[in-house]
Parts: sequence; C-alpha cells; structure tokens
Amino acid sequence: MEQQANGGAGLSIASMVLGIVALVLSCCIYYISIPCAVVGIVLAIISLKGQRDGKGMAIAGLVCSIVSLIPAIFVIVMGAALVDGLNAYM
Amino acid sequence: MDSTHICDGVMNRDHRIDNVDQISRLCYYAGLVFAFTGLIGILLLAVLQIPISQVIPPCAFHSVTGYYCPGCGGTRAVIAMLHGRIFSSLCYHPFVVYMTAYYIVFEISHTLDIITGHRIRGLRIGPVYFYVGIALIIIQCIVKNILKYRYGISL
Repeated sequence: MEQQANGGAGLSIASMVLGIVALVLSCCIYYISIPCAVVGIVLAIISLKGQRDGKGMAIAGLVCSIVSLIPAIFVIVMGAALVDGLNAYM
Repeated sequence: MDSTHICDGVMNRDHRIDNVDQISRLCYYAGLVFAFTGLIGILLLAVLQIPISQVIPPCAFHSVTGYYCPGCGGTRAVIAMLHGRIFSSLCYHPFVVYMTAYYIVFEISHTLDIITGHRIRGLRIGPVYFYVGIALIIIQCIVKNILKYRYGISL
C-alpha cells in the first residue's frame, strides 16, 4: 500500500512533465505533443485513482494535457480541411 | 529522524522522502541523457547545415489565426539562449529561461551530491517548480495575445 502510494507520486510527476511538454509543443510539433498528452492523461488518471501522493500534480498534468490537445487537434483539422479543399479545386 | 522509528506516520514520511530522492535521481539521469541527445542534435544540424525550420515547422495556429499558442516563441527563445542573448530569450518565451536555469541548478546539485558523497544534497523534485513553470507558460500566452489583440503588438 505504501509502495502504491509512493508509485503514485512518480506517476503524478511523469504526468505533469508530459503535460508541460505537450503544452509547449502543442501545435508546432503535434506528432510529439499528442502522444505526450495522451500518455499524460492516462498516467494522471492512474495516479488519481485512490492515490494520496501527488494528487495536485496529477490534476495539473491532466489539465495541461487536455489543454494542449486543443491547438493540436485544431491544426490537424485545419490541415485536413486545406487538403480537402485543394483536392476539390483540382 | 531515525528511519527505524516505530511510529507509522514517521515511517511513511521517511519512505516518501526516500521515494522523492529516488525520483529526483532518476530525473537527474534523464537530464543527462537529454543533454547528450540535445548536443548530438545541435551538432548534426550545424554540420549538415539543416535550417531549424525544416525540423520544427512554424506554428500553424499562429499562421492561421494570427494569435499565439502556449509554445509560440519557444524555438526563438532556445536559439537566442544558445547565442547567449538571455534577455531576448526571456522576451520570446520566459519559460525557456526559467526551465534552463532550473535544469542547470538541478543537474549541478545532483552531480555535486554524487561527487561529495551526499555532503551537498541534490535538489529534490518538487511540485512548486512545475506549478511556476505552468503559470509562466499560461501568463506569457495570455499577455502576448492581449498585446496582439488590444495594441497590435507582435512578439
């Protein structure tokens, strides 16, 4: 139980680091930021499920990962729309 | 306090501190790997004369909307820092300067921890450093976009 709680702190830290990396790279290098955000969300959820250690960091990691997905998805959607538009024009 | 003390609360605290120390040491080694791969990457770019724009494309969000994403200015900040222009780097993206300073202090402290045999303790990974970083990213994004929207200032 102690090891589980202590492992949660490690997962929380990893989630927050990945969330920050995803936030900074959110739409410039989306092929890195999206996997980082997805992994960050997964780690945050695992860490939040019943662990006491690092709850704040897990929540911060979760929020940063979700926020970072917004511009990344925006860029992908815009890119897909542009390609569709070009194909229709040709 | 002696870690063999029988009080549960103290035992838990000692285990948590040990775990934070282990995580901090892991982060130190990860930092060394990061520095090594970063150096190799920079050398390759310099030797092969590959422009940075081919590796890191310009921000698509900024190109489409004209406004700034949380990472905008990061590449310019890193390039300015590598050229020794700390103030310019701070203006482009203050998180880069903050994280670089924290990284350097963290790595040096853990190196000294190893060399001196724990006489000088390495910096512990703590949430407050990350909260400050997140606050810097968000605040600089908001400030840049306000300056752009209200006054038409591009940074």
